[in-house]
Formats: sequence, structure tokens, C-alpha cells
Amino acid sequence: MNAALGSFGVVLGFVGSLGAIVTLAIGLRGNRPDLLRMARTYAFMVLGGAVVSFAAMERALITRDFSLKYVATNGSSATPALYNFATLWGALEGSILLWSLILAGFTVAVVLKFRARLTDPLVAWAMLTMFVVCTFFFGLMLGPTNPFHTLANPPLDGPGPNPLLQNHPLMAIHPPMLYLGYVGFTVPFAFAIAALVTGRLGEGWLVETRRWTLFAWTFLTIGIILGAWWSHEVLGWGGYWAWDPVENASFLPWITGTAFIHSVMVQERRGMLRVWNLSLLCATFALTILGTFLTRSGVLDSVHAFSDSTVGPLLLGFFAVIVVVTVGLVGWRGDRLRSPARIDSPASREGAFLLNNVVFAAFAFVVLLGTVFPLISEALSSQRVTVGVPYFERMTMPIGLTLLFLMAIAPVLPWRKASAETLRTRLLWPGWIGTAVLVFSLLVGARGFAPLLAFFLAGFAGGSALRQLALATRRQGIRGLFGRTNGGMIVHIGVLMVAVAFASSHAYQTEREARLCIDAKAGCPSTITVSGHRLTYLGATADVDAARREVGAKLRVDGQVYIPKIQRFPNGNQEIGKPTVRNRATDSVLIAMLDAPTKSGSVRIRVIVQPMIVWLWTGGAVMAFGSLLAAFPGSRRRPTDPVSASVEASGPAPEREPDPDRDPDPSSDPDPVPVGVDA
Amino acid sequence: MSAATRKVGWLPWAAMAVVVIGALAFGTFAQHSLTPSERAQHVADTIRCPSCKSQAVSSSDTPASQAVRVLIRERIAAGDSDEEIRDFVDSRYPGQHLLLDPSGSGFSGLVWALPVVVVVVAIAGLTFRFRDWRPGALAVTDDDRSLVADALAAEDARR
Repeated sequence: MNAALGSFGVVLGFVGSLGAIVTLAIGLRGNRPDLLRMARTYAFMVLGGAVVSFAAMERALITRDFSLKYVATNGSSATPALYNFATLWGALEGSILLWSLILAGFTVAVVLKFRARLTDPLVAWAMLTMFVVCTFFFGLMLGPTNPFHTLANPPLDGPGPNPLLQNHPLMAIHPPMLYLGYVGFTVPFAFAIAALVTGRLGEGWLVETRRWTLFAWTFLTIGIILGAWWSHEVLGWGGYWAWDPVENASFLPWITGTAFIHSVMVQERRGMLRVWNLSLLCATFALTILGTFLTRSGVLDSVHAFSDSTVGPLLLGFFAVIVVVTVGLVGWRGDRLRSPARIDSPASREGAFLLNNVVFAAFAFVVLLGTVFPLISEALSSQRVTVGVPYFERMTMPIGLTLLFLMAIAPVLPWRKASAETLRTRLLWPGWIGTAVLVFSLLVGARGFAPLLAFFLAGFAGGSALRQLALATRRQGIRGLFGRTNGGMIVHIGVLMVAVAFASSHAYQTEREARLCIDAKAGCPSTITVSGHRLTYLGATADVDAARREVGAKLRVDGQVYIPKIQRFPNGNQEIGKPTVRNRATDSVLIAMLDAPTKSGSVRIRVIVQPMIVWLWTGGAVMAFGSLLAAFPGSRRRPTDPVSASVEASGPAPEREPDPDRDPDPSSDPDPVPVGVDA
Repeated sequence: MSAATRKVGWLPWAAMAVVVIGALAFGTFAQHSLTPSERAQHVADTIRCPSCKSQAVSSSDTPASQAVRVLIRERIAAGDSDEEIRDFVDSRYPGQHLLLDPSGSGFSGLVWALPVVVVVVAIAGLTFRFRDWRPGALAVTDDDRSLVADALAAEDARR
């Protein structure tokens, strides 16, 4: 029943996508608006199929229908409800199902947003592209990743999900967030392809997709940060980012997406960098597919890897198609992509964005190269190489410091050209704020060149961001926090918090392993002090239920009781540690139990004290909040209006603050520019 | 916007530079030297656990990792440098490629060199383009003028 319903949903989605492609192709060819409007029906059909499949799989999981192979291999009757629900995305087939559901949701959202313009060829081509992607993913579920295989002899119970996937509630939140980000980049990609095909390569399509890109980027950010938090809470080594292939796969589209969010402003303002922006968008989407390939084909060793399957070649093929099509289209439209504008000076906002993009491109290149280099090396020189954390840290540290420096300088740069005097004036206070942060760090005992430089630059960049926010709110009141520039500055502050947390938790981590006894004896104290935190062992705890057995050690940490645990799940003989973390704004104490408490009343624990690591998670929240503010319109100016429209031409221009969100033409219409006008 | 109208000279910047450079220099050179256990931790960060796939010795509890940690502590006590310890551990597990840092020579040297080459080429290319982008290099042609005139006429017509 569940299998039949689920398969029906998959087929419905696949047929709907295929039908939409054919219908839209005929409609575009014969210029038939009636056919183009059918995109809406097809989109709902595809979403309907995805919802039916998703519901069927959830029903199978919840009712423990072990006749489904997916439930028999990943579910169990003992799994608690939340983790049982989340098991849908715990393995390969289900993760493609979630992907398809989100993709179908985005398709319907686009259809609804552009419902009045479905007959516009640009929108029709974008819809067509989305349906092609839908066809691919629903096709996967008909072929190698069919989640609805049935078993002739269903077992009475299943093993349940991997223990690491059922001991933290973030399992229910982190993957959907990440997928909302990944899949969301399909929308701007579809519009980029549509712009290339229709030749309408002005700024209209960019403005249309700006918020979609921001939406996808925000969820990708949230997903990545939550993933880092999850691993910090679960793994017990104090780590949160291991430059593992799967982590890199999520980080790569984030890098190119971030580069795009910046360089797109140059195109909107000055009409430059058109090829580059198109390439960035297409690269972002292609990288989500490449990442899916890397993580689901088993070609790379990863702690997150999904089981081996035959889906690899298909994903790689799809990636190749995307790259070939994009490169071909850009080559074909090359003549229309040239921009008449020039960059007047490297010391300008657009010059800084350009440099930002070079750095981000280098960042993406390093991460991509480091991730796939073991494969390249094995293929070309039959030499096995490990590219690990030290490589990534050494290569990305200068990149990160350069980005901090740019975040300090760029927000105060005017468009077109800045004089040395302008920079001296505007950067003075931000510079002193950075200096104050540096001196303060020294006073509280921070040492080492790289972290101190990072703190100085972060303070400097924070000063520049605050300066922009202060100027904007002084002029516009609370509205000065909204809009892309101001929201973007709040995102910057979040990034700086993450950077500071990264630097300090890396440089000043203290780790200690110790055996504690309830009654202190020689060589086994009952209380230890690690970096000023007193830990006292109070006794063992034990807890058994159907889902798991766990033992814990009751510890008093700075007066409060914390219980790190070791859990054993029925399906595995592996013991899974469940550390506990005492979080404060200045530092966090992570306690992992290494061995189960002994009968004689002792326990071996590892204590890791990391300064400011909470800033990482809060910085992620600030970034999400900032991009929410950035999505609101900050001014009534149409983004494609020439910015010089209302600048007085007469008299010597006073040295004044160019206001990025100034409204040059109050009568202008608040709606975004219709796509048609840029042809 | 008083700060924006007041002229700022180089003097405050020179003062700031002195403070920043002084603070950075102090913070760099006044570091306490690493304790043996901190050094062991740093070295263990760069060595792959022999029985795992990609985890470092410092973040795994397998018996093999513990053996490597013992080895590292012994070599530190014997007075080896970090680099000597890494080479020593690697030589004790032949064919396993335990170093998480790919070596700088041979084919794997490419993983270090390529990004540097790419960045240098990109910056050089951009600098070259910037020479082109000087405002002086722009000449307005009659075509441009007629484009502008057409656009303005279209704008008027739209209103």
C-alpha cells in the first residue's frame, strides 16, 4: 500500500515534469500562451506527486511497514518518534526524496510568484529549466535511488538509523535547512539559463531572482552552522568543522553564492561583470550537484558518506551536462554580454567587489582542489594522497584574513573612485575600534600573530559595519536597518563573530584527559580545575529504554550539574558518546566520558575548554537575521535606476556621504522592473 | 556627519600603525613556548589515525591512534623537532601515507602550487585590465551619443 502510493507519487512527479517540458517546448516554439500557462498545472502535479511520495514514506516509517526495503534497513520499532520521522532523510534514497519534495515546492513557488507572467518567454524558459531538474531527480527515484523497493519476506524489525543520526534533535532540522539552501539555488540558475537562451541579458532577470538567491543562501548558511553545532555537541573532540568532503560539498556553493551576492551589486549598479555573475550562479548550482555526487557515490572517504550506489555516474553526467550547457550558452551569447562600462579605479566599491570575487574564487578553488585532489592524484599518478585539515587550514587562513581586511575597507568605499582622504576620514574610527579590540585581546592574554591579526581586522570590519548602520539609522530611523546594504552589514557582523570564534577556539583550546574518583585517592582526584573551571565527580547514572541504553557520569561544573553519557543502541555494538557542553559567552566547557564509570567509583573524562565558541552559533543566527533584514526593501529606489539620476551637477561636489540607499526619484514606482524592459 | 567633513591627516593613522604593529609584535614574540603536551597535540593534529579513513590521531580513540600518541610523546621527550617526529611516524607505517598534509614535492606538490599560481595569474590579469580601465582610456563615440539620445527619447516617450 505504502509502496504503491509512493511509487505512484514518483511516477506522477516524473510524468508531470516530462509533460511540462514537452508542453513548454511546444509552447515556446509555436508561441502559444495557452500552453505556457499550463506550467502552473504541471507544477502542482509535480508537487502533488512529491507530497504523496513523501507522505507514503513517512506513513511507512511511522507505521513501521518493514515490507519497504528502506524502512527495513533504516527504521526500527524502537526509534523515538522524532528520529523516526527524520529517518526519511537519513539514507540515500530518502534524501533524494526530500530533495525532490523541496524542488517541487520551489517550482510551485516560482509558478505562483510569476503567475501573471507565465507567457513571458524568459519565465517560460526558467520554468522549463526547473522541470528539467525535476525530471532528473524524479528519474533518479525511478531508477537507482528508488525509495519504494519492497521486500518479499519483510523482517519483523529493522536495525534503526545509524546511532549518530538518532542522538541529537538537530538531525530533524539541519538536513532540511541545508536542502532548502541547495535546492533554492535552482531558481536563480533557471533564470540565468532563461536569460541566456532568450538573450535578455540585462539586469532584469537578476533583480527578479535576487531574493530567491538570498533565500537559498540564508538557508544554506543556517544549515552549515547548525551542522557545525551538531558535530560540536555530538563528536566530543571540540571540533565543528573538519574539512571533510561532505562539509566541503556544502561549503563550496556557499562560497560561490556569497561571491555572487556581492558581485551582483556591481552589475546592478554599473552593468559590469555580466559573464562573471552568470558563471557564478551556474557554478553554484553545478557545485550543489557535484557535491551531491561526491557525497553519494562513495568516491571519497568521508565520515558522512552515504552507502555506495549506482547513482554516482548519473549525478556526474548531470553535472557535466550543466557545465557544457552553461559554457555553450555563455559562448553563444558572448557578444551580448559585453558591458560598455569600465571600472574607473581599483579604489572603489566595484574595485573592492572585484577583489572580493577574486578572493572568493581562490577560496572555492582551494576547497575544491583539496577535496578532489586525492581522486586526481590517484587517477593521474596512481599515488594515494591524503589532503587533510592542516592543508585546508594553512591555505584558507590567508584567504580568511584577506576577506576580513576587505570587510573592513569595502563598506566605506564609494562607487567609481575614492580619494585617499576619503578613506583616511571614513576609516579612522573603524580603525581605532580594531586597535582597541587588539589591545584588549592582548590584555586578556591572547597571543600569536594570526589570531591577533584576525581580532584586529574583525574589530576594524565591525567598526566599518557599525559606521554604515549608524549613518543609515541616523538618517532613516529604524528603516536604516533594512535593505540590502544595511542588512548586509548585520550579516557582516555575524560573519565577524564566526571568524573570531573560529580563531579563538582554534588557537586557545585547552584539552585535558583525567580519571576522577568519587572519593579522592592518590592519583585519582575527585575535583580538577581546567582553565579556571572546577569539575567534581558526583556519581554514575544509568538509564535503559527500548531505544537505547545509556550510562552517565554526574559532574558538578562551576556549581551546576552536567551529565556526559555513553549510549548503546540496540542495532550496533558500537558505543556512542554523548558529551555535554557548558556554554558561556566567554568560553565553553565540553565534557566527554571516555569509559563507562567503574564499580569502584571512578570515571575517565576528557575536558575541552574553548573560548568564545558560542559566538559561532550566535554569529550564524546574526547572519540569518541580517539576511532577513536584507530581503526587505530598504528604499523605494528601483535597483536598476541610474544612481546618478538626482545628483546635482552644478557647483563643486561637497565631500559628503554617498548614500547607497538614497532614493533619487521618490515618484518612481516601487515595483521591481518588469523583465521586459531590459531586452 | 561631522566626522565626514572634518579633514583627517596622516598623523592619527601613523599613531594607529605604531600601536597596531607594536601590539602585534608583542603578541607574536611574547608567546610562552609550547608545553610538551601542547606540542604533542599539534603534531597529532597533522597525522592521520592509521586505522581510520581521514580522522586525525588527535581526534580518535582507536588503539592505533593511542599507539601513535605514545610514539609522539616519546620522540618529544627524546628532543626531536615536530618535522622529525612527523617523518619518523610516517616511516614507521610504510605505505600508509599518514601525513594529513600532502608533501610539497612530486605530484602532490601541485595541490600547494596550483592555488598560488591561479591567484597570481588572476591578480596579474586584473591589474593588466585595470590599466585598460583608466577613465582616460574611454573615448565617447558618436554611436554612444546616439545610444544615449535614443534611450532618453524612449524614456520621454514612456512618460
